[in-house]
This record gives sequence, structure tokens and C-alpha cells, in this order.
Amino acid sequence: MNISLVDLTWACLMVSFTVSLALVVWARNGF
Amino acid sequence: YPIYAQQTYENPRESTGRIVCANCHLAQKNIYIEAPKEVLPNTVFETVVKIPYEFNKKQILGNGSKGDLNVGAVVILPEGFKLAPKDRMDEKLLKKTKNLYFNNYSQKLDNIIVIGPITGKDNQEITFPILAPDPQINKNTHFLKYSIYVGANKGRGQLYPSGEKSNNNPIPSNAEGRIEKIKPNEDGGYEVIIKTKDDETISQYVPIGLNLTIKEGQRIKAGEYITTDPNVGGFGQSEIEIVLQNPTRLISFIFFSISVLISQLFFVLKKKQFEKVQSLNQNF
Repeated sequence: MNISLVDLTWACLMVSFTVSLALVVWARNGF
Repeated sequence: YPIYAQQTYENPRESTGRIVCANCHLAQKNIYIEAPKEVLPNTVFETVVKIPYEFNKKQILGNGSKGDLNVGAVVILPEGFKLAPKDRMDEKLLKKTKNLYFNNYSQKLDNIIVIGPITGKDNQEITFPILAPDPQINKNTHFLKYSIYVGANKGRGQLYPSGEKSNNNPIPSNAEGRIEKIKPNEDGGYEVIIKTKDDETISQYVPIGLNLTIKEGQRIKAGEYITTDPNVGGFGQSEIEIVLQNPTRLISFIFFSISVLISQLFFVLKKKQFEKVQSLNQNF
């Protein structure tokens, strides 16, 4: 399966949201 | 047939948005279209037109016998988009479009693709291979959001382009009165004799293949249908939006995301370091 640039951009957007949320949780030492 | 529209109309989409097939295919049926949300310039993508129908349904043919339904479709692409050439398609797409013969609507309008009539049983889903334009080469196209309009049809129409009715219609009574006699014709049709209030007898011809809903002695009004509706098909139209996306925008967004991620990570690491120092109660 070919991954197009469009798919990669969507992946990037979703990863940045997820990682950002995870970093906030880590920084605050939990929820 | 698409050829009727191609001969009669320069552009198949009227200013009201109606696709001209609806002028002869009066019955309505739902159809569906699938296309990618966004495409990159100079790439081949597929648009799928779905024309669902029940296989057990048979339609009346021109000679009055029953037959399977045919389907056809027209896809009106934005200017600059066109049918993908065979050498640009991958194997999967070639396989999907193997038995399909697409045509441009006219020499001038190569962004409008027509197909049909083709057998409905094998083609409830028609895949159109489409080539996106490159705004750097074709200066008339831009990185914008466009609409794709599609019209698709199953079964025969109700009118010919000349305005004559086809036999794919219920027959209305010509007069008000009583059904005097129903005579079967040699060709398989019927002759219905109606006696009006003024004692006039009116003879009405019902072609072969239509089922009568009236009995001798029954009273009918003018315009009341004397046969069942033989039509099982219909025309539907739909539209979908597609974005011609600039790859530079996508790449810059990816770099922006990465930079946001890295900076966030360093802020958090700094906070963690600060907390460690605080917990050791060391002041500098």
C-alpha cells in the first residue's frame, strides 16, 4: 500500500495531538 | 442514452444544476458518489458512482418484452480534471475499469465523462479513473476546493428527445366513462373501448407488455391510469467536494507539527528539571 503525502499529513496531525496531550499529562504528573 | 444528451445539449449541466438526463429519465432513484477528500496535483485517483437496484426487477423493453436494466452515468469534473490515461493507472485500477468504456462528453469538454449503457448487474459500482491537473502546468486550475457533479441512471427513460413518450409509462385513460370492452390485439397489446357519458365510443390502444388495471364495466375518469406503472428504474444526481491540495502546504504543515512537538517536549523537560531541583531544596 502506498502512503501518500495526504495520509502522512493526517498522521502527523493526529500524532501531534496525541503526543501533546501525553506531554501535558506527564508534566502535571497525572490527570 | 448518453448520446441523446450529447447530440442535444452542449453542456449536460443546466444553470439550475439539473443534469439533462433528467429531461427524459423522469423517474427518480437515489445514487451515491465516493471520491477522496483531497488530491495532489498530477495524480490519478478514483471516483466511485454507486447505482443500487434489486436484481429481480425487470424492465419493459421497446418491443414490450421484459429485460434486465442497463445503467449509465455522467461525471462532471472541475475544469482541468480529466479521464486518466491507461499508462498512468496502476494494476488495481486497470482491473476495476477493464470492461468499462468511458467517453468524453464532447471534444471541447474533456472534463465531463460519460459511460453507458452498460449492464446493470455487473456495474452497480462504476469506478472512474481521474487525473488531477497540475496548476503549475495548467494555469487555468488552482489549489482550491471544487465540486464534482454526478448523474446516474438505471433503466429506460420515459421520454425520447423528440418529446414522444416511451412505452415505459403507465397509460392514462383518454376519456371519462365506462369500459365497454377490452379486446386483445394480435400484437399482444389491448384495445380498450370506453363509452363516454354522451354515448360516444372511444378506442384506446395499450401496447404489449403493460398490465391492465381495469375490468370491463368499470367506470373511469379521464387521466386515470388504466395500466400499472412498468417503470422500475430512474435517474439520480449527486455532488461531492474535492480539494486540489498543494503538496508544499502539506510539507510545511508536517514541519510545523514537528517543531511544535519538539518545543513542547523541551518545555516539559525543563519543568521536570526545575521540579527536581526544587525537591532537592537547592537554591542557586
